[in-house]
Amino acid sequence: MIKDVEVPVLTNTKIGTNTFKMELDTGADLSGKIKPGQFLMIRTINPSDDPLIRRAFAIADVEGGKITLFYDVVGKGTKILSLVKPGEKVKILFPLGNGTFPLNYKENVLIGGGIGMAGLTLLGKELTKRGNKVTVVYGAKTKSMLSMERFLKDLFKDVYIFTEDGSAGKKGYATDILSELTGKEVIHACGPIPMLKSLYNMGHGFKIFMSFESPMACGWGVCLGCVIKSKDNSFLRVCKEGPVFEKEQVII
Amino acid sequence: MEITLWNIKFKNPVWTASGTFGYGIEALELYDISKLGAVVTKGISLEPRRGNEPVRIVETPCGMLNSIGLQNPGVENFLKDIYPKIKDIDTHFIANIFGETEEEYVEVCLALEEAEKIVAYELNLSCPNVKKGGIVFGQDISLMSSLVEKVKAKVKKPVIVKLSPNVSDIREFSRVCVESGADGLVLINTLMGMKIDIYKAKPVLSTVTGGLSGPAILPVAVRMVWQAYETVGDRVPIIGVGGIGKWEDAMEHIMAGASAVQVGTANFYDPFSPLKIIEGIDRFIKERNITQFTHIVGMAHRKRLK
Repeated sequence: MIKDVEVPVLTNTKIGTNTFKMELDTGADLSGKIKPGQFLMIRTINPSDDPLIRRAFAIADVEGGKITLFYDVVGKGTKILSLVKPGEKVKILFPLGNGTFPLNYKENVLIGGGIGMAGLTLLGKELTKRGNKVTVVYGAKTKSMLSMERFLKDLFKDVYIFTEDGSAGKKGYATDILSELTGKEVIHACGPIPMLKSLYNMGHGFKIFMSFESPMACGWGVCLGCVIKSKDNSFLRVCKEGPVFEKEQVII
Repeated sequence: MEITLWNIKFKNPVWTASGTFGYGIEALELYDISKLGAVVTKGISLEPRRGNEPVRIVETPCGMLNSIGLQNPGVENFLKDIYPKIKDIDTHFIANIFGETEEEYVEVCLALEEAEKIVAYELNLSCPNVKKGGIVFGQDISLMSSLVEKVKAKVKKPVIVKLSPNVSDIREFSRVCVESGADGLVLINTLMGMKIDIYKAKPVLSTVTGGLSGPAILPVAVRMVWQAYETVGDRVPIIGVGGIGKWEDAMEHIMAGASAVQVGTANFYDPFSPLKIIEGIDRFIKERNITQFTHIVGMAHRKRLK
């Protein structure tokens, strides 16, 4: 079942120029209940009607009843969220999404662009737990935007960094890694559409699973706002059939 | 809080609005939807419609714009794939009907005549986001009149008509609609609006314009329910929809003349709101020792006279 609950914020910390890390205490035992790729819809408990719509965030980590989120402040909704203090409550609707990442591949590459990296960390943990190999590739425009680097390096051994301007890690795009890797089976990706598009159009033999972001009003399948084009030219809901799709399912 | 409209008993006067609740199936993952007075389905057309290209939605102050374009599987697939999943749910369903021609409206209704779970038809004459049909009927009074007459002549179930607020005088449309045979009116659909992305210097929505909904439109909806009630309130029930997110909003609609209300956009940002609204209305009535829900329908009109 999908739950709508008010939960206390444990931390809400600025970890980069524009990026915040938020930890929530759901008070429930969530172990095994959140599938990698699932997300939540969040807003403050302020009764104001503006902003109206909740924001969709990937569930980046789960430990017991604690949920970790990462978000960039991009507009009114995320700005207001960034002002919430520890101890105050937020409203979350979760878990959402039925299309989730597969956990059964042995050799995995996780490619995250910017804040999209937050959509892959729970996956990386679950894959590692199952004894599968995980290579993490994290790309951003510039060094100051690599706000999840420490979080990633605490969780994973094999982490590659790319920046477009070369200010940290290798100069280039996260997708550049593909020419260097051998023996991998599957790519799991989350990030801006141009990144996913270039991955989509590359001619390589990997299986690809992509998690999408889209303007979303409800998160549970009824507003039909978040759709993405399917291979048969109809529309699929990112929130319901997704947010993770295999490359063969969609057109981007 | 049971109410009776068109000789049909509804558990309560709180329904979910078309296009904000699918066909009720998604909500089964959230709560027991048999607690609702009724579910009004997403618009159903004769043929499947794939809907508009993204971008389809955008948030606006205290509201949102949408331009979905009536994406739906068509009436045949509805009956084959969806109807079996809702037919045993213990509440009523009202089918929102959309057509590009008069004949299509009639055909969709006729296809649903034997589907017992569907107790009435809500004619969608007010979707602002499709090129043909819909709002064309809702903004031309003679086309509207002819359509309502044609559908009424052919179908057995009650026919209610969802009116567009994008007209010059809602009283005139209400009057003509009822005189053409409508068994009830539903007010209001979304208001036409648009948003521009100033950094890209272009409209956000793929269709340029979209329908505004949410708390921002509550006062417009209440005013139109009020005017429709003044005009035809003694002849047919009026169903209020527009900007209802809390029980207080629903109460405004009811006191303006709504015999029942529909919760729309609030399903998106507060999915449990219909249940909270049912509780809130029930509490309000009990606290004031009002013996029947119908006593508060249009109450603000009577108070004004005193």
